[in-house]
Order: sequence, then structure tokens, then C-alpha cells
Amino acid sequence: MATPLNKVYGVMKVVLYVRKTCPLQFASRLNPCFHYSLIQVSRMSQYHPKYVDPIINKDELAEGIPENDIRRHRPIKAPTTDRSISPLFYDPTVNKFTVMMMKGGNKERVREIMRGLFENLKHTQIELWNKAKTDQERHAIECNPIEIFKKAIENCEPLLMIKRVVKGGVPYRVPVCARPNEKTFRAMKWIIESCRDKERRLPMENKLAWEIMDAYNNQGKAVRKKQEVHKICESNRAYAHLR
Amino acid sequence: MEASLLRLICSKISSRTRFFNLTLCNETVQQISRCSSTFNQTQSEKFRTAFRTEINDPRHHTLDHVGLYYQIPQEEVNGVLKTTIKESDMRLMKTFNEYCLMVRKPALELNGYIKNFNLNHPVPRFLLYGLKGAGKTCIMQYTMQHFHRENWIILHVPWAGRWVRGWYKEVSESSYKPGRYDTPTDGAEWLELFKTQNQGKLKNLKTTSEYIWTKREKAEIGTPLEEIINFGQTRIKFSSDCAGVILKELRKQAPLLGLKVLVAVGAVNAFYVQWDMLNALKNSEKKRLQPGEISLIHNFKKMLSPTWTHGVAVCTADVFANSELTRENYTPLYVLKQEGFEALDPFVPILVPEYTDKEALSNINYFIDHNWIQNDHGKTDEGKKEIIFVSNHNPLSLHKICSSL
Repeated sequence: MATPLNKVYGVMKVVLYVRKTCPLQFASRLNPCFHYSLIQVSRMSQYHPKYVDPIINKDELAEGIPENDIRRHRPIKAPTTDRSISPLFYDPTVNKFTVMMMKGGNKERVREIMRGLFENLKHTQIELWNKAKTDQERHAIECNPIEIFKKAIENCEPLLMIKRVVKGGVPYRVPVCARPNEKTFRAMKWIIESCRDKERRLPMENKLAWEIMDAYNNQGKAVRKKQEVHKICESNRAYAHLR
Repeated sequence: MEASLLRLICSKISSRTRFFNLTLCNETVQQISRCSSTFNQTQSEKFRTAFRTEINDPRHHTLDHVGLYYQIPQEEVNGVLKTTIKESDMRLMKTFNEYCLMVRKPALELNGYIKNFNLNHPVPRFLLYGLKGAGKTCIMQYTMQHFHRENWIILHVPWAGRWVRGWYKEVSESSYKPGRYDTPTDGAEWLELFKTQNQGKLKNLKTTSEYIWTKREKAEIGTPLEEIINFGQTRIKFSSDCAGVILKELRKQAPLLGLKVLVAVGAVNAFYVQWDMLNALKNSEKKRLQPGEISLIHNFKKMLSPTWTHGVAVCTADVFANSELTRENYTPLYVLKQEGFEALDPFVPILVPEYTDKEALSNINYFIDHNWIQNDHGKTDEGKKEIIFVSNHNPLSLHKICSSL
């Protein structure tokens, strides 16, 4: 081709055009100056697709960028406000959970709840740790609240999900493999929903702490919900070929 | 050989951490004779993580112990310090399975003043002031514990703001003097507190004049004070009057019997500045009460005036007892307003600063020792520095930050 496509139509149009017409592996063959990163553009992004992600890690930043790195020649995105370089105050899972629990943009309140949650978890575990008499017992007690939190979410993650598929005018509930993002999303959603019942008018941090301690021990409402989904998948496994 | 080495080491040690070192020396003397260079290294490491003293009696603390933690026995937590320790701190202490407080410089300064004061002079007033969460109340606790051990009688108001608010409280006009109002529940609560804080100190105290409650009930001359407390607790209607009687008797008898009285008031500004939010106390005509009209406060104000001897008053100035619009500053004149300042004047202001680097580090080390900081990065030097920076050396915010790590 004499002129590259993206100069004629503009970047976004080319991306959409390429997505519609030809599969990924042909995109670069169509145009040699076409970079792979252009294809992974998200439609709502405020940034031009030329911008690349910033380096958040402090050690990585100190090392410097290699000579042939693309970041030397491209503009860089500004880091978002919820990212932090400190391993003290930033954890991607916790951040995701915080954002999911937020209502009406009131993140300050949710952060306070998360702080209370970790405090409660630590109080329950460290009290046990102090009461334990032998070293063996102490080793068995997990005191790190973030580890407990992650383990609890892992315990709530479903392996299979149900998808509605219409074949010949008849809807079927078809069990499908859950994608990793969907898994964590479901697990978090179930934990939050199970704590939002209006019967018990208690502080959210207390209810969350109980729910997470339960999920850590493979009990509680959220884990039961996962098991229910698994059960439905099991009963509908005859439709598995329809996906 | 060993003795000379010991002397040499002791002279090298800075005066601040001398006590801690001396205890270390005995253990490590044998190591020194083998290799002196490694000894210096291990010692410097131990300095950094020093956060505790063995001396648990506040009477023996000196400037060397500033920033170190000491242990409080269980009986005193349930006795003198009852209801003074904050709920969140109490929860922490229960989790750690021990009760510890930090020795701080203004506390030593205050105790030094009180110790050297001639009690035949009229009552001196000490005012602790500082930022929110700087540790004013903790310093008052330290002083109370110190003088409790020297057998002083303690008159304590945990937080005076409680006495001027509460829409749910019963307010009745005083039978003693019209125009003054009683809060029976508060009075009974205070009598209970007074009783627990001064167990075993009130045996020899008796009234010196006659008090007539009603036509049929009266307290004769020579009634023990304990009986008056019991009367106030059973007949709640008279609890405020009973508190007034106790304060009056103590004022009268302190110079005669050689008693020593410590008056400790949290948030004195509530005595002088009117609380004007919705939950302020009101009388039967729905009129907001002035603080001076409440009989408990009226009686306690007399304890703060220099009309009696053999006592000392320690107060804290807390902006949070004032209304929301006036919480910008923490200086005495701003917090107490003109009226309160004039009533307390002349007083000794004592500034309670936030943590120094050493105190903040010792606090963090204490937490790490008790397994409270779980984050691995928080245990490194870099992490400790970051925690101190983010908390801005403020004890309260440091506690808050560490609670989720």
C-alpha cells in the first residue's frame, strides 16, 4: 500500500475498521507501521491511543528505561489518583473492592469502612494469637488482614457461571466457564450484598468482618451462594454443549 | 578489667537512654570482653528498637524515660483510671493483653511543678492545651496515676462536655436554690466515679455541718462522706446536691486535716462557653441553660477558684466541647473565650506537642512488637519513616493509620 491507512482515515476509524473486517493477525500484515497497542484501545478513554501507561513502581523507575523502549518516544498518561507507589496503602484487590462498595461517589466513607474492617479482623486474630500457648498454634493463626481478605474472596469465587442462550426460540440456562475477572467480580458482589441486608442495623465494618471471617473458613452467605450456582450448573450440565 | 570497661561504656552512653543501657550492660559484659566492635553494633540496634522501661512507677520516671512505654497494673485501670481511657485504646489494650502508657515530656513537667508546689498557697491551675489527638487526656491520666500513688484524693471529670448536652436527660429545678438546675443521672454517675477512684481514702472523712434534704431526711454533723455518696446514689434526685456537699467538705477540710486534693477536669471550656447545638440541655420552659446554671458545673467552678488551699487543679482545653464553627485554633484564649480565660487567670499553660521523631518511632516499634503492624513494608525503616510522615507526627492519626496496616 502506498499510504498507510491510519493517515487516510485517522487512528480510531482504522481500529474500528480493522476490528470489523479482518481478524487480529492480519492487521499488522495489512499495514507495517500499524502497532499492536493501537488495537487495544478502549472506546471511552480520554487519552489519545498514542499515550502509554506510566511506571508506578519506585524501584523500576530508579532502574531507568532501556534504550529501545517505546516509552522514550511516546507521551505518558498521568497516574490516576487512587494509585499509590506505597505498598503500605495500595493494594489492587482492596482498591477494586472499595470502588465496588462505593455509593454516590462517596469514597471517603468507604475507605473509612475498609479501615474499620481491617482493624476488626486484626483485633479478632491477634487476640487469638495472644491467647495461644504453643508456637505451633500461633503459626496456624493468620494475622495479616489483607491475606485473610484475599483468601476469603478466593473462597467465594465460582468456577462455573450460568449463561442464558436462546436456541430455536427456547431459552436454556447453559453452564459456562467463568472468566477470571468475572470470578472476582461475582465473589466481591456476593460478599457486599450479603452484608447489605436491612434487618441487622449494624455498622457495615462489623458485618463485613464477620462475613469475611466466615468466608475465610469456607462458611457464610457468600460461599453458600457460590455453592448454589455450582448446583444449578450441575443440574443443567446436559446443555453444556450449547455454549 | 570488666569494671573499667563498664565505666567506659556508661560514660559513652547518652544521658537520655542511660537507664535502658545499664540493664543491657549486665547481659552483654561478657560479649564485650571478647569483641568490642560487634558490641557497639548490636547496642546501636537495640537503641533503635528501645521502646520500653522496666520502671512501672510514674514517681520514679525522669527525662531519660521520655518516649518509653511503661505498664499499668490491672487494679489501677479498673480503679483510678476507670472511664478515663478511650474506648478504642481500651480495645487495643485488651487485644495486646497488657495496659501500657507512654511517658511524655509535658507530663513530667506537670508532675514536677505539682511536686515542688507549696500546698499552703491557694490552688494553682494548670491548663493542658494542644492539637486534637496530641495526648492531653493521656497526660492527665499519667498525672492522676502518679498522685493516686501518693494518696491524693482525686476529683475527676472525664469530659465536661457531657454535662451540658443530651436531649434525653432529665433536668429538674434544684430544691436548694431556685434558678439552678440538677441533672440527676450525671450526678449519680459522678458519685460512682468518685467512689471507685478513691477507694480506701474516704474512711476518716466526716461532715462538719448539718445538711437538710427534706423535712424528714437530713444528715447530721459527723456523717461519714461514704454515707452521703450512698444516699446520693439511692435518691438520685439529690445526687447533684450530694456532689456539692462532698466538694464543699473537701474544700473546708483539706487544710485542717492536711489532705491533698487533685482536681482533674477534661475540657474545662464547657464550664464557660455555652453549647448552642440542638441537643443542649433545656429547662421546662424550653430555654437553653447557661453552663453556670447547672448545679454540678456551678459546684465544680468553685473548685477551680483560688479560694482554698491544699489542692491542685489540672484542666485540659478541648476545642471539641465548643460549637462547630469555632474550632479553628487550640490556644487557651481562643478555646476558653474571654469569660473562661478571666475566670481561670492566672494559670500555668502547658503546651502538649505532637510526637517527636523518637516518640513516634517508639510507638511504631511497640506496635510491631505486639504484632499490630502486619504489613511487611511497615516493618522496614523506609516504611516507618513513611508512616511517620503520613501521620504528620500526630499520635491520634498515627494510631488510625496503623490500625489498618
